[in-house]
Amino acid sequence: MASRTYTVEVEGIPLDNFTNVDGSGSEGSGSSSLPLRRARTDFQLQERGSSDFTRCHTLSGWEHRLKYSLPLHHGGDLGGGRTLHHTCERRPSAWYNTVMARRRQGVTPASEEDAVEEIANAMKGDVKFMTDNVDGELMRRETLRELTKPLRVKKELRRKLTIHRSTQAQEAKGISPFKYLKYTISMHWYKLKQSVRDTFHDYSLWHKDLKEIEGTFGSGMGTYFRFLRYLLLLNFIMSVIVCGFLLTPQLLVPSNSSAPAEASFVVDDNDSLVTAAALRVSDDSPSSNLDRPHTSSTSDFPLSASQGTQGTTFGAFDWLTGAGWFDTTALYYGTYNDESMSLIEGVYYNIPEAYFLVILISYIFYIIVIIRRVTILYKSNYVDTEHDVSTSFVKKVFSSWDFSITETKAAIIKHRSIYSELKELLEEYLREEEEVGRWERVRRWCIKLVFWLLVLGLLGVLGWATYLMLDNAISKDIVKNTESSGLGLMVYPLIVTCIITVVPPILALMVKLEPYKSPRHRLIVTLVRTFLLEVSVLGILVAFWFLQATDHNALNFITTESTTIAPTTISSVLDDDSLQTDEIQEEKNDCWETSLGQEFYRLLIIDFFLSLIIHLGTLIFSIATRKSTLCSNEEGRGKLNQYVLGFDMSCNTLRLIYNQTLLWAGLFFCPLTPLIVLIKMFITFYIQKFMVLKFLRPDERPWRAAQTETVFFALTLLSLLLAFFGYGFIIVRGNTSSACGPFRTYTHYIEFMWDLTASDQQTILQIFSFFAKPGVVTIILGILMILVYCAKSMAEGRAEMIKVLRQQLKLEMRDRAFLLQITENVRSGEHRLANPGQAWGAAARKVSSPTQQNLPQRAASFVFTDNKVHPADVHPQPRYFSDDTEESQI
Amino acid sequence: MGNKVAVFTEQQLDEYQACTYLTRKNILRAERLFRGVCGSALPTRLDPITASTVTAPYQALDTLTELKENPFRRRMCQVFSGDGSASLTFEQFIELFSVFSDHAPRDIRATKTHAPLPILLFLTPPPFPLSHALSLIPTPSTPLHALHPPPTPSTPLPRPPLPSHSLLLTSYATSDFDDDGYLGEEDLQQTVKHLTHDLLTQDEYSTIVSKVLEEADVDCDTKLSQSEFIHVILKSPDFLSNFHIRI
Repeated sequence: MASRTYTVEVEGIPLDNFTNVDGSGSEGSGSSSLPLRRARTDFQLQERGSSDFTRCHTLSGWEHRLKYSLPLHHGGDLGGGRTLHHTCERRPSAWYNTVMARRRQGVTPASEEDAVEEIANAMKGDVKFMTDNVDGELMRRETLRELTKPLRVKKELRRKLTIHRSTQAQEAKGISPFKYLKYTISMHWYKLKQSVRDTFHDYSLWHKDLKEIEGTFGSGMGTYFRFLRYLLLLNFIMSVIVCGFLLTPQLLVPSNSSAPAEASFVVDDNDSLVTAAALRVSDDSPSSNLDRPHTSSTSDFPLSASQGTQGTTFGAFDWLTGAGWFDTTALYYGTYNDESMSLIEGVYYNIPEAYFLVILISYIFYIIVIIRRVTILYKSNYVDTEHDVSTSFVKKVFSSWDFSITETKAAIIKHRSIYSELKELLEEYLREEEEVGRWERVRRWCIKLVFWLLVLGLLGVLGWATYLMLDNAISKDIVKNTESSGLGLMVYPLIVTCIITVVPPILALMVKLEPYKSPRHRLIVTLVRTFLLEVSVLGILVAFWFLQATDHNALNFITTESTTIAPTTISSVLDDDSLQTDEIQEEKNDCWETSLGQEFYRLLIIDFFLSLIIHLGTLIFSIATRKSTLCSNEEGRGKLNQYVLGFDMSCNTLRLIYNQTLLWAGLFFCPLTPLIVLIKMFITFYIQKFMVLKFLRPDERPWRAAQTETVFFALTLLSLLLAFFGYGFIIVRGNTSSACGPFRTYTHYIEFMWDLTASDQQTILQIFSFFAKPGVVTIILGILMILVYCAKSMAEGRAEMIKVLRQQLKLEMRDRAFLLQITENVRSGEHRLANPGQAWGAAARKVSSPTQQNLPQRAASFVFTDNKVHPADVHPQPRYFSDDTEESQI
Repeated sequence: MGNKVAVFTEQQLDEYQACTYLTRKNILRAERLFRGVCGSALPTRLDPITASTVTAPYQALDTLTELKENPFRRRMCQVFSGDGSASLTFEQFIELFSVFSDHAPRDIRATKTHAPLPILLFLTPPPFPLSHALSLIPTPSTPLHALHPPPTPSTPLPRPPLPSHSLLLTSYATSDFDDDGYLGEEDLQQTVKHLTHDLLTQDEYSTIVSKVLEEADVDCDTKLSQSEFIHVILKSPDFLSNFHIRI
């Protein structure tokens, strides 16, 4: 029992295992007080006496204990076993227990050497700790690193351990050389891995740039660039997959079959044109296909002149519109072959299957990676921190300074932002106190509702307008049959990009009018609205083309039928150039996938140029404004205002997400989008880094890096899932263009799926129909609901438990303080009670009262003011006294 | 490579790597920084004795790029110098950077016992068993008078060497301005003052301090002990991302 009192004594480390060790130890030493006192040999307890005595009035049990208990012989750690009972963490290892036990027994090392000796001995005694394998080595390494000792102690310890181990190893060497060898090899392997990891860490992409940015602007800004880097790496992997498995085979096909080119024409009537196009691709494949986005930004394109055939020459604006010459390249869905290719006899590479699988795998890859990321972020930022007392002030005070800041400018800004955040918190706190009336609340809700309706209406109008415009433009295009270099194609993407650029700031302005409490809510609302805007615009684009295709297919079904009936006529026409262009023109209209791919290409390009222009504008603007503020600088204005414009991170991040959404939406129709986006992001990074470091000042708004990152990733995931399910719908319901693309032999995508899973069609259908049954759906939904309910109620239960435990802790602390006060009074013989029984009864009754309401009153009457309560030592002990020696002393 | 070997022996480098979280490159860079701070007082070869004896004065450390904007820099140096002088030897210098390095294990929250959803369990890497608990080992060389409270509360005791190697303890010690082992009201107020450049009013300071205590002080003794501090700080997702110095 004696051990019980000081099990949790050492700074709150739960040393569950001490009871046994200590029990024997303390009995041996003969005085139960000694171990306790020895256990306190830590630095922070040295000055316990120096703390202000007046604080005792605040019922500080801890303080009281320290104050009053130590002069006593019995340590006086009343019920210490109950305090600070953490949720049990890992049990310290055996050697640690040994050290602690020795300390408890009063064996305090006098000098540093002794301490090293002691710890080393304890470590040597720990079998698990000294095991000769990688785990043991890792354990030793980590332990040394985490040890709170000066470096020289660590080095000494390490030396001792190494010597010990080598002697041990020499003894053991004769026994099992194989084991020794295994250990050596695995150790070397571990070291190699470690060094490779270190190298990767030091030389990871943009390591230095990120450090510079974070140093200047803090890690909030770093989050944005890190997000950019993350997406870039993701896209890089995708580009490699697409290039490796889709582009290369596609480019290899014609080069393989170029000699018997004429022979391959017999395959299909529609095919011949495309193969001819593909041939053209192969001519200049190495430079044009791989580096297209690069060259597209430089206006002179060397390859265009060499093209002979009309209609496929590289027009002046083709790189902008993505039409014309690009139609014939592997950029779009339309040009991919629908056949198997073989480089080696007998080994076939089925391009349609490859196309389908590559796209599918990319989506699944993206989804898995991002879901994983989101769960990790969500878990660490929300789940783990939820359901507890709010800790907003603690967070501000202890973890708001960013240690990575190195620039004066950034430091000043950080100070200011912390100041304003604290101010804001204080205001919020004060506002919380004043009660908001019901009508006020209703009014706020109404305003919010109106604004939401307004925003949704705006989005609807925008969507409708874009649809009309698209309809207009395309039908005009079809009617007038404009040449492929027509800039009319550019109108739609230009307007869409303008919408994407202009509307979000308006939304951000609108949110300021609404009665949202914290800027954080405002930020999230703006993010969600902007996201809705992007999704609606892009959704309308895809839906438009999809509808167009289904309509078109329905109309042109007969005509395509007729062309397939008479293949010979078309193949005879092949030689004629003019007819060929017509044919291509028509096919382009037929191939709605390619047209959609073009739209995405244009959107990407225009977005890029618009952002370039915006950057240029800000550059000019900030240079202009800088000069003016420099003039006013002499009047004593701070250097801080040198640049007026800030870096709007939410806006920029949304642009990134928009880009990524474009990628996902366009991936199927334009398989090389990852490559384009990759290069675009690469350039963007450098431009933005330059802009940020040279011409912008950081955001002064509070930017909670960790949680906002979660929101960003959640939005990204949402857009990805939308794209994925959109494609699912297209695959299931959509018609293929019969004139182009890898699936041209099928009229529906779903047929290709059936082909792919040829034998199991029936089973798959059965499975699907089984899951589509209402009963099954209900059961699944029910199970899900029950699971969610369980999880939720468990979480709530835990929250409740935390509350109760905290309350209990508080109560116990106060009880202890109260009892200690009494004990002290009695010990010093100041007070004797006239009628002890009555007073004790009163005390006991109040102590056991569990409600919180009684607490302050009790505290007031018993400890603060009423020092006339004198429980006598003859009376029954309160249940919190578990130590027998304690009681006898009293 | 030649000059690097001249500064340290291989064995020394190995030793530093084993005992700190720094990589080889970090150590060499730290050496360059230290040399820049120390000036000519430092011999070309840093043998172990020099590394643990020659100190860089705080006035010089103050100008270091990595530290110069940090409002807690003086405190940090004091914590690591062990004697309150805030001037560091090379070994103490790299200890400082080791604690704040990227490699220091930051996944302390993994030691929490419950995970709300089973699916999340396999997403978190297994915690290292010792890392957290060991950091709390008390220092052995405690003077005897610590066992009895000193008679006069006002005299500050010489601080025993406390280079706390865990990040949490360091940040705790950094906020503990009066060195009494607890974060009292005074310490909290100092911390807030350092953070805000002393722009708030006294009332606001006391409100903030009382709110902090309300949130974190589990046992209601108007000061935060280590365990209370650690308990509350682990709930702040920004803490781990903000507390590092890249070298």
